[in-house]
Amino acid sequence: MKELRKDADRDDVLFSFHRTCERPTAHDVIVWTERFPAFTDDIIAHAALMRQMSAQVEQPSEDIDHVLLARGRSHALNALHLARAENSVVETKSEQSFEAMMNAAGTDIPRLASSLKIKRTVLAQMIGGRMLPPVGERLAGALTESFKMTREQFDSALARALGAPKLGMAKADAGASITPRSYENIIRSSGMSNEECAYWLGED
Amino acid sequence: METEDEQSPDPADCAGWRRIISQNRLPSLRAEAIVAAIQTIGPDGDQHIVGLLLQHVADRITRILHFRVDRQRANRDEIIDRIQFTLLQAVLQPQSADGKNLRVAFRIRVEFRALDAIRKEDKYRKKEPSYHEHEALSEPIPISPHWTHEEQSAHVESILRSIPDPRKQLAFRFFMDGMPMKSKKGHSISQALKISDKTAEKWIAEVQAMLKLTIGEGS
Repeated sequence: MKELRKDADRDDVLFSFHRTCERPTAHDVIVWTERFPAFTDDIIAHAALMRQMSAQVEQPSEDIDHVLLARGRSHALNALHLARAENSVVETKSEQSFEAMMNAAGTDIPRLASSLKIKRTVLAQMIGGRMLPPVGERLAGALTESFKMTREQFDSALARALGAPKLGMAKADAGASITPRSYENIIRSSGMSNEECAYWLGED
Repeated sequence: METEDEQSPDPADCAGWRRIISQNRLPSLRAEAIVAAIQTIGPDGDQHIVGLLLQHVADRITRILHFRVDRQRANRDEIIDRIQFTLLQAVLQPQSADGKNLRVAFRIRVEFRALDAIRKEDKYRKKEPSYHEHEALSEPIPISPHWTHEEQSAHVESILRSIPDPRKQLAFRFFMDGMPMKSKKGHSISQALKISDKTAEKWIAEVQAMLKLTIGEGS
């Protein structure tokens, strides 16, 4: 068994106590409470219950309530159903586009840009598949935080956006473009102040 | 008691587990091996196998809880229900603390969770001893001279269990182990339970008086 650290948490200490001392004696209680004084009350309470338990005589032939067994099996099926449903949510999220994430969160580019205090055009370029990776850590961190997603899910959404780029807004002096640009290039040409650019580029 | 020692298939060997299930040999395998198989195959793996393995694990958890959670507890069903579901969810989460420890020491982990749930309940209801406890204390059944040694031990045990304060119960169990109530040199009941020598003596005397009341009257 792994040696417990002095700062082990309550569950680890008590579980190790159970594994080490199946029928705790006064000596065991003294040793464990001196080793983990923060859990003295719990160790004594568990020792009392463990001794009570070890005094029980097991009756192997004893019938178990069928209702109890049926409830356990029903819990098994429910737990399995929940685990599958959770996995499917994670999978769906990992395949989600930025647009789907914004829809699910009830937001859009203007609102998201405003909440992050960044120019809309930066988000529009990224979501439209016109920003080459790597995306700056500050922006990636802010977005994973906003959408409660993992970095892998963010990278997957970014790859999806790059795979199906959308036309940028046509400007007076140039036509609509789908040429992807670097994160730094997009930030510097976004019209944000030098301080804001430095922040998003991690240069502050 | 777990005496299962039959060779288990590799955790990822679905064909091997299918064979074990069809031959009804799951009861002869270690629960830890079955948990490892469920965690390896995963909830999205072979639905039939994982479902049957998890239901078998549910039965094993239920049997342990049925035996370990006192039938007289007013909220027994609630406690069992809660632990069943928590542990079955953990079986499907290999990285959770319960998920890992069920793979390592199944029976002890289930018992630990059962006792910890009881401990938390008792702590919460510290000032409200249950009806059962009052009833047991007020109606001691005198021991019969015709009882066997086992019957007498069971009777003493029932008296001990009727004591609402678990520390007082434990003090008397240590006393029956031969541990002194107090000691200036070695270990003692008072030192183990962090109580004064006077309290240790008072508790032991109280339990002895309860036992005399039942054993003394009948023999």
